[in-house]
Amino acid sequence: MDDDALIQACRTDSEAFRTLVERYQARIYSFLIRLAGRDAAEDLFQETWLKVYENAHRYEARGKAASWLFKIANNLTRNHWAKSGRRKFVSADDAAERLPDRAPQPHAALEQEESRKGLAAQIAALPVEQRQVLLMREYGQMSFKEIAETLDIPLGTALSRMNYALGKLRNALEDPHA
Amino acid sequence: MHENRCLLYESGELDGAEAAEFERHLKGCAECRERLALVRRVHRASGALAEDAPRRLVAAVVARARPEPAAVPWLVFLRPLGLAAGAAFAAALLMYALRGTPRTPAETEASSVPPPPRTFPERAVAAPEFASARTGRPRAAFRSALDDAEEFRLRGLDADAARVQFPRVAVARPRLIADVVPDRPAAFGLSPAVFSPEGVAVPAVAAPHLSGALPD
Repeated sequence: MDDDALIQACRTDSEAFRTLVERYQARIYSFLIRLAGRDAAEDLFQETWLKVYENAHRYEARGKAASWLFKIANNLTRNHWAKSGRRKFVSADDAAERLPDRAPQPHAALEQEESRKGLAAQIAALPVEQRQVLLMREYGQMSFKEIAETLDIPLGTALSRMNYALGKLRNALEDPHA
Repeated sequence: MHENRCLLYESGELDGAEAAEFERHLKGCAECRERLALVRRVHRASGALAEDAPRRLVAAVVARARPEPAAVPWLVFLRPLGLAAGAAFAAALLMYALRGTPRTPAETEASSVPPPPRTFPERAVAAPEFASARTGRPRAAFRSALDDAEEFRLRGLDADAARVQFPRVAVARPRLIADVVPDRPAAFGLSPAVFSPEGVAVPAVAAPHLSGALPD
């Protein structure tokens, strides 16, 4: 069953909802961790799926399921910031230091781990507008046209935000200690 | 350098002719090749940062979804009646539903009683042992267990039903049920003093047997 059909069926078919959640859980969760921080991600994850379930009957099947899901997650994050008055950036502590521990690794793997943490910290340090575009592209696997529509910005703006983000992430990818 | 073209090429948003033209350009432009390599490196690195949501979280989300009954098929017969007739019929149905069946005096009295205030668990305050040492906020596991408990309370289930429908609360967080069903804490072998009536968790000092029971 494709994503459109799953969304449309999920109000009456719990198995369809389960399949949809399983299909998107990692992408939505990763998006929320990097956008809102680990502390807020769990609540926002639950709220996102609740909203998906509540609004599934309004979904218009046009092959843009990811855009719809990530728009909900993004809007809830914005509401969360507005309500809590919290900062719109993720602390390095949220983003990097608490990445899941992995088994003991050889030197090369440790360097890779360092690089991973460095990248997480760099993503966390991006301005929220750039981070939204980057995360929608990477975890939502959305086209830039879809990202522009979702964020209600011109295509050129979405592309330039991504270009700025790439410029800032370049250092982290080249030097794990940057 | 064509930064935007690099992005649109990588995301598959150039049409066939545009993509072919850009590929020809790439052969002679080291800057664009480097840029494209960076786009792909970021893509791979972001993928390595992806994480699955905790299983308990996924299970909680799925458990919250309850299928609605399917649409009543006989309503399709209203369509030929036209909009006005259909609306009149729907209004008649609504009036009938609102009027309902005759009630006994006891039922009428009961329905006029306002529902109890929602005092639990939104304002529950986590005691130190249930709070994150770093942020001071209640731990996520604590918060989601409270959600389940609240749902359990609002649905008016008895403890036995809760065991079946809310195993996470019933098994992993039995003390929440003790709070929700204050008259039946003995069914779970728990002390009703674990949570005060206001939903405030008591310190570990007062309930040492619970210390460390919640995962972070």
